[in-house]
Amino acid sequence: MRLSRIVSALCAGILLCAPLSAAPATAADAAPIHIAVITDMSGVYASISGQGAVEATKMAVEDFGGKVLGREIIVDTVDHQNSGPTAEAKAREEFDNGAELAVDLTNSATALAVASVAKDKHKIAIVSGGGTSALTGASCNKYTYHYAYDTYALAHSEGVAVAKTGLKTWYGIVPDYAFGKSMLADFTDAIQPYGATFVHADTMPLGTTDFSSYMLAAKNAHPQVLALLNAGADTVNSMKAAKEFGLDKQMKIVVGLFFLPQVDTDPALWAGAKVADSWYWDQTPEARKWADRYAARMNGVRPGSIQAADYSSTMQWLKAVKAVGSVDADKVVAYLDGRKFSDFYAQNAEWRARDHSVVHDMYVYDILPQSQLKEKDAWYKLVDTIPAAQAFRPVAQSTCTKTW
Amino acid sequence: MNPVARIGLLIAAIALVAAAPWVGIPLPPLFSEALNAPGSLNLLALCFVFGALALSYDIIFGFAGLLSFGHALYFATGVYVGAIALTSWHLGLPQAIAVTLVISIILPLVVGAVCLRVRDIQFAMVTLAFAQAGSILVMQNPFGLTGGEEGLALGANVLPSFLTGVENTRNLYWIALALLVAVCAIGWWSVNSSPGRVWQAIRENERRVEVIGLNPYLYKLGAFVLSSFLASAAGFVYLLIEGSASPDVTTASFTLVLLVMVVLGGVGTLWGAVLGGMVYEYLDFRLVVLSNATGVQSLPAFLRIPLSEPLFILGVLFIILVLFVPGGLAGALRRLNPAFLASSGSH
Amino acid sequence: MSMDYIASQLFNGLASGAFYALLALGLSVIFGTLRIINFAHGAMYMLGAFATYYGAQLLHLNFFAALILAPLVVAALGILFEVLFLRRLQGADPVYGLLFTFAATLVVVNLMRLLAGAMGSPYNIPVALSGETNLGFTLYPTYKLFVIVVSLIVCGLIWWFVERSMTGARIRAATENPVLVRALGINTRRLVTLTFGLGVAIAALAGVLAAPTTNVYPSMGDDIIIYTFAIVVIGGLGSITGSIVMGFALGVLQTLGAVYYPPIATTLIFIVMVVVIVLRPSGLFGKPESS
Repeated sequence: MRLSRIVSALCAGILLCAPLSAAPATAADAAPIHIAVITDMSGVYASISGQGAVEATKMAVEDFGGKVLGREIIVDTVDHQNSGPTAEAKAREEFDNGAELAVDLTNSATALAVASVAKDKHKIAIVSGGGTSALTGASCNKYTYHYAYDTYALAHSEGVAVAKTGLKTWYGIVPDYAFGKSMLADFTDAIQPYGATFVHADTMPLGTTDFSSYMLAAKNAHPQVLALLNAGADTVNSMKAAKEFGLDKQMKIVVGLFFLPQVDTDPALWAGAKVADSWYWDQTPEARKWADRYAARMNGVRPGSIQAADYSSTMQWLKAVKAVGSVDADKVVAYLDGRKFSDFYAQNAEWRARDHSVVHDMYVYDILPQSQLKEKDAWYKLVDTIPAAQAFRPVAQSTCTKTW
Repeated sequence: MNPVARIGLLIAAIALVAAAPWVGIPLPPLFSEALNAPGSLNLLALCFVFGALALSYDIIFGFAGLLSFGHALYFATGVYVGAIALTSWHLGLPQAIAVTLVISIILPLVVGAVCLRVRDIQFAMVTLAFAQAGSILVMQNPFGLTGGEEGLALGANVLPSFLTGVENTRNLYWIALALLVAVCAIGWWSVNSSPGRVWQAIRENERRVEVIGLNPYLYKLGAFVLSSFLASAAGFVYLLIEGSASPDVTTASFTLVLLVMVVLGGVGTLWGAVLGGMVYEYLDFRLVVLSNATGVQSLPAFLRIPLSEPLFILGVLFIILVLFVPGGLAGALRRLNPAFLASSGSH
Repeated sequence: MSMDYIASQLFNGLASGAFYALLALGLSVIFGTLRIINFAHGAMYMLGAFATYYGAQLLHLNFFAALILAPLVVAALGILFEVLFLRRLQGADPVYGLLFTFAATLVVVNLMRLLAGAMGSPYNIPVALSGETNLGFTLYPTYKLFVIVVSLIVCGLIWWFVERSMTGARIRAATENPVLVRALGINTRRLVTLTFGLGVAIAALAGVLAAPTTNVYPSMGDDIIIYTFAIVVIGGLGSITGSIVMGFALGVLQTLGAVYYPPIATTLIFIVMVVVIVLRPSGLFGKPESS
């Protein structure tokens, strides 16, 4: 009986794998080049990257002509399911099977995992989704670039923009894991030159779903700013609790990590919050044009900054490959390092050689209420621009031990 | 078949499996490259590790009848203690192994001593509580040791050269195979030994064991420690293969998946658990490649996405098995602890 | 910290305890009758919240209608599930029921993820219950007061139903000695099925109450289910009183932990559980198992 069960399980397993096409050998130069979009396809980050990231990357490939160096370019969708080991294993498999570039990598743990695989395999990884500054700090390596944003940049755009207006007493909602602690450290540093400090920033233990007691404590403390330095579901739960206790009427609410596609899930919740981001689709005519093309492929939904970053980084890489005449990672890195550029996504950008942080201008926005929405997805209102030199960690303070 | 022939067959089978790194045959659709390519060997090595882990769980669950929800904790112990020993404490490989082994005996001894004071569901809950505590501890990154949610990478130059680099995947493959063989051997020996028989007696009826004059607590503790020790060993080998420690291995859902693996394969038969573990890990990997295959990519989203979620398929598979093979399940059920039924408030 | 502040935090504790109490109650009701640990309980809670959301989106159902209808709909699903699947596992080792409900959770949560995405669906506090009420010593969110009152009423009603009513007596008897009860001409099968439905309905009700103030997303039940199990164990498996009392008590305890020493807030329940199990395995309100 048991044997039959096992046999049926095995058969089911093999049958499921049957429709696989056999993978071709990649020895010949005429073989296609793969670009692996390693992202969260169905989890919490699916709307800020996910399918949109894949489409954006495909757009870049198509706009480039679909081929480079006489070889076809294929975009692979890889779902890391927010697991470091899964991302690592799949990245290995991709790089072993013709992938020369990995992009997106939303979720810091997966970004770090794939960065180390890239280093192992001498292939390039460009992180747009994950935000940990370790990628250009302790975990920096020759083959990884950090493209869109990091916690330092968020703190030094948003934090600075708000502290500049004279709001000195801050209250932090900080989750007790690496991301939260690094956000708190970065924000504390960023607001300090303006005489602002965190009057309170207890870290909340993991697994907290009910923020009521923390919001009540915040209300009691009468700060001028409430900083939500968490991510994912925590951000939503803490925002809901903040509004429930009427904190949005009492103080300014700063959301540390936030992306445009998140507003749509609950516009009433986010109205009035201040956020920082690297790009917004309605900021320039070029950006709008690109966003419209994207929306045509994505059922009318406009892109967020990570998806735009994926297009931009892929396009930059393709141009570099064409320029050096090879996909060899060492040559591409040599070409990119130190290069300055501007495109619809990044203004005054540079591929910093020292720590492989791709710096560019950052922006601070207010989220508009539904009543002021002029068209679909037009939630952001620009309130401040932070030049690249101020937004990103100065090269002199980098903790990256450059070994290349 | 006489015992000598049986052992001979076993050795031949192991030799055959060990010869895989020299077999350059491509085996689609099982693997995307040849059998001896690093990717395939890596996958097989992981399957061996999960087979060993599932077997360790079968020992306490299938044989001693102890439903533990915290088995992941001991696997994680092997992974994390090993990682910390190699990186933060800068120990060499042999010393790291020694430290991990020592801790993976002491920890379950202490935790088990507390948990085994209760039985059945409460036991399951306490083991879960300890595992949760471990998970939280890892995520909080005390003294910067565990790396929190970003995990702990082993980094270069930490492991001896024969274990690093793509060319040496075959060494890891053999180590994983050796682990599986060793765990199977220990498992088989232990359940057939006299303490092993006491475990099975305890599973059937603990009161009777007390009446004979044996102390079930000590035997249960023995099963608990052995099983956890084997899980930690599997964890250490997992660390070597992956090259990093990640908090995913500390979650409660990881233990539950283990439980389903063992049940699918066949509770109380060691080889069934091994098979369950290996099949699950294999499917977990291959389903992703499947989802990338052109045939599946063109399926509408509502079919494509579930096909790329191994847990979803596991759930459906389990439900189907329970429904259509009820006779088989009953056979296994009868061997499990009927005391559960007896304690349901009657008499 | 002033007394007013502490008192407000106590109310916070009662509000979060209300959810624990309702969920633990549902779990106890199900375990008490079916001897199955319903791992799908968290998923039922999630379905209750989503039913509220979809009810509003598709049928323009207001919150108060959802309070009645959503639990009924989810209970119907639960009963279907029990009749089709769980019934086959009757009399088997409870482990199989548990595993089965776990497998069902995987399927349901992933299906929901397909439908709704993983991020979260918006649902806001109904206007009638928004804002704050003057409690004399402080202004306190009205919605939370509503939650506390509703859950106290529901818990009270269920307690009375199980412990004091005729049907409740029949249910309890059917658990103890099904054969005898059947011999008395009572349809135990139907009783058990309806009780399961009741347990599921309570979980779904908790979900409806949660929707306005918690992120509504497919994995929302996963987070809370482990705490619920811990509370049921502390209160005593199958003890209705235990689940209700400990649910509220631990909500308060967790909130006070968050006020005085946040790092311990989420592990407090587990610490209490380990202590209670070691000192009194059958739980604080449970009957010691006749061994």
